[in-house]
Amino acid sequence: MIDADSLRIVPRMGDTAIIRAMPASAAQSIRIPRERIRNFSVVAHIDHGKSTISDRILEATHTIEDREMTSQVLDTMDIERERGITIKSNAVRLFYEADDGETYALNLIDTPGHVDFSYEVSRSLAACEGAVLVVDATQGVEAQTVSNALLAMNANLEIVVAINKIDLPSAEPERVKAEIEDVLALAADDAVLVSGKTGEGIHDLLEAIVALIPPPGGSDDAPLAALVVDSWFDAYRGVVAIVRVMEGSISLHDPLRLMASGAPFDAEELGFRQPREVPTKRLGAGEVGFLVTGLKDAALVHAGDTITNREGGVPVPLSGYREAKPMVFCGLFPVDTNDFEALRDALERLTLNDPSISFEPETSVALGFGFRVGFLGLLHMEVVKERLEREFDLDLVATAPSVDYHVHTTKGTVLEVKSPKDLPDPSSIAFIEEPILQATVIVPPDYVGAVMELTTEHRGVFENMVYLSERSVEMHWKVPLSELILDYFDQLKSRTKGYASLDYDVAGYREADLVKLDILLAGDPVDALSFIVPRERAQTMGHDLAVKLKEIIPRQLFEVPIQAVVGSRVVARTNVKARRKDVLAKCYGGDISRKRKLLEKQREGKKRMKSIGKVDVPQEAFMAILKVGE
Amino acid sequence: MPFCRARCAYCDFTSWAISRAETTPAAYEAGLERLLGGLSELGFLGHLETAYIGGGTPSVLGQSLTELVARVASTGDAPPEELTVEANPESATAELLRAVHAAGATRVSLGVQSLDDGVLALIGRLHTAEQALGAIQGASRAGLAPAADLMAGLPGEEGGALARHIECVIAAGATHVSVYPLEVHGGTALGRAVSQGKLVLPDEDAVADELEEAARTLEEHGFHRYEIASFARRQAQSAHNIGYWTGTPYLGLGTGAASMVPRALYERLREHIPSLPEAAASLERFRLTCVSPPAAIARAEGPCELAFEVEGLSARAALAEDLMLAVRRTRGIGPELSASAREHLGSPYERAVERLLDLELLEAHQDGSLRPSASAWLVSNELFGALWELAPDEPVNLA
Repeated sequence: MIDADSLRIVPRMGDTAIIRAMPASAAQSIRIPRERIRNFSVVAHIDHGKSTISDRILEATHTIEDREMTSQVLDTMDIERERGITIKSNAVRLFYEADDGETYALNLIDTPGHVDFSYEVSRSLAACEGAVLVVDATQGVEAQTVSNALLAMNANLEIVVAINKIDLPSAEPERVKAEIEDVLALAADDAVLVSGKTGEGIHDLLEAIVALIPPPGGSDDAPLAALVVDSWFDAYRGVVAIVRVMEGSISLHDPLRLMASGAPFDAEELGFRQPREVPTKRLGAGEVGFLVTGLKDAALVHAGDTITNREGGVPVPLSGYREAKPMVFCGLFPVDTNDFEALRDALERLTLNDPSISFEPETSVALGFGFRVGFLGLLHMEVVKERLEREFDLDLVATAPSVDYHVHTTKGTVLEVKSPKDLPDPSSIAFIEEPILQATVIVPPDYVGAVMELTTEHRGVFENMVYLSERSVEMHWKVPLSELILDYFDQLKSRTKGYASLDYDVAGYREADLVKLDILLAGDPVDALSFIVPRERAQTMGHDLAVKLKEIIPRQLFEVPIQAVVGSRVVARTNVKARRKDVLAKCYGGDISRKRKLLEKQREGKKRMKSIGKVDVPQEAFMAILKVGE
Repeated sequence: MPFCRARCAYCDFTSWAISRAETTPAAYEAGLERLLGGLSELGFLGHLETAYIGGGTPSVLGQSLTELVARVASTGDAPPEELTVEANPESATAELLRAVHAAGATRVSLGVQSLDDGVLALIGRLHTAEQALGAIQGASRAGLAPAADLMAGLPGEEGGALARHIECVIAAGATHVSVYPLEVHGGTALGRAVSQGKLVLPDEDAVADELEEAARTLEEHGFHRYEIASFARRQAQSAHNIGYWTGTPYLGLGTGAASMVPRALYERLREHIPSLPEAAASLERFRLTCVSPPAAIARAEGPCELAFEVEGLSARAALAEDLMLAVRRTRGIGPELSASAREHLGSPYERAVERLLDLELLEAHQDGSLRPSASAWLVSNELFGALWELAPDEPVNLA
């Protein structure tokens, strides 16, 4: 039964409001003894069905009534639902009455599902004793299946294998089981066969979770060590954290501190998310819940940090903490220069919830005042830009993504160059280093050649490869991050007909022979179109980029020459021809209003372009390098 | 007259194929006559300077078109000096042309479009080149001034076909030629064919070449451009069309027909047509589109039953509109309009003009007028856009 009182709106700043219903019976903070708590995550390769399985679990435990069910409940942002990816971590407490007659508290800790967020995934897993590894019965083991399984094993988690999509005619559960055993060395005999679509096997999965995943350890009486799984800023309550109490317990109003940031605070509110918030007076060892810190600065509360008692407490923090470091940078400029302050406010507000975004002011001759913004990866960048435009109603020009180059000058200093236009004069550069990734590609053996060719073209250095099974090969590479953020991933997908999967991690810096490629429009350099490229590819990329820009830039009243230049050498040139016909020729009585509307539409289109000198440049031109292959 | 025998492949105007219409052209025409009578009785049609019976295809009425022409011709205190009838070549028989002339028409506007039978069939026209030339000759003989409409940008017509067609219509006796580039609209048969890749149209440069050659050919034959798309022999300009571009009020009757009226006339119309909404005091000019469907026109006993969509423009918006329409004409923005714009629109107008002079789209003439340059015609949207942008408040749609 649901009554009106149990419907509540939980606002999360920057996110859409979450409207959730709870069965009245679950609306109080029921205390479940530790031996009947199970903390687990659901992990999977993208599109293997993590979110649907999570939804079915919520449904089967009556956490969400059928009529309140929206697809992918845990993905609360519009963008998460639309793109079918999880960006933020989330945690929800469910009650499950098992076949043994006992009621268990299951804490489902949802993890981001993209390689951009692998650190966040590792922090979520550290809060668990077990993980449900979802593997698509039609696809088998893929790159993130392997990386997620490894993350889970490294975190000493008990893994429950769920083979999903068994309702599909092309499902091959036996083959997939064998692959899991071969590749992951996991016993797959007990794998649970499920269908997120039909709900088949979900009961078995819940029983397996209860039976196989061990209850949390720890003691309520020990000094406090609580792991921050995620945090966000709430306009009314300050920073709210999702925490997993590893040792000790937190009581309401306890004086506490964060060990990495050093920030002191009091436990102003405590509770469980079921998924509506249910207050409690205490979070004991093994429990997962929310903690209102009252802190006003989200940068003080990072995922992975340890919360302990203000006085005394544990001597060393929980291991694995890392500061989230932006890896990909782009310029964000308001189309309307008057929106600069609004953009600053919006970025400040977004970073309240997402401290992994960095930003500093940037000035461009072409685009005016804006910011150089740092992100965890390309997806993160797209999502942030989309949120800025959608939630803060800004019209933005984004420049092509860049990485953080280390430029060693002849004077012996090292500059961090995150924007191509900041690259100093070549005469003052001793050498440049660029960030390198350790990339893992899993493909069927037939495509090894294609991957070799592609990755070598993208300056990848091959290390080794391992046959995971007869059907899949794992290749290890060192690849420059700058290649990955251009078109490597798209090309990898297309050249392997979608079979390849990719996973990566940061692997330091490597020297490279790089130059700055500049673009001149109508004779004037446009700084926002500059780019850092490998010297040997400067000519080709200059040509491709000039041709792409010719496609993107509409014909103007006059001819617009486009030149690609390295130093003073023109490596490619082309022209956008002058516009010759743009006229609404037929205009009699009834046409006048219609034609006026067309003109207004044209004007709107023009407004979205950036005037550089006399040339109107569409926003997508600044991302042209990403589209060169299309 | 929103009926045609069949819809052309490119057309997105308000018109019904006769076979699909809910009412017959004859019943509709009878309704129009009642409406004319009603407006006349109310004193709105005392003096008609010009009249235009357009469509659709008015000539689908056959001989009863003559009655409509006669009704229009006898409506005011004197017959209009210019009374144009639009016609498609296949229904403009010599007999019909003689009859409408006798009834008071002075001019006929013929949708020729092309003189290539293959192209005509492709774009859904129901006539041949021979019929088109015959209709022009027939009109001439009947004493009507024949105006021929031709299209540029038709598939397969790159490379001089349009110029040849122009020479043929002139030889047949046309005194007025309009040349429009083909516009492709979504939702038309042509739009679908293009978006599905079944039809490839000439590109921008080819169409521009065609239009430039067309203009040259017309000038060589003694036709003068007086508007972007309109060319005429001396004395053969369309006074009615010039009215559209010079802020002259007009009343349109029938489904989809447009009217433009100043405030005082709008208030007078409101006294008799209850569906017209009240308008804010700031609005000076009104554009009305009749949204009564053909069946309602056929039933209507008088103008009080008509329904309209109404758009209101402030004095300043009306001024911006006048400027935008003025640069369609070779005469451009006359000294009076320019002075008025400087007074009411101020420095934004001055800046816009300066920019357009700088871009060589406008030329300042000694008589104080600002005229479109020779290179401006084909990129006129730049002019229109820059001038319409001066409208400080967008037109208001009245409920």
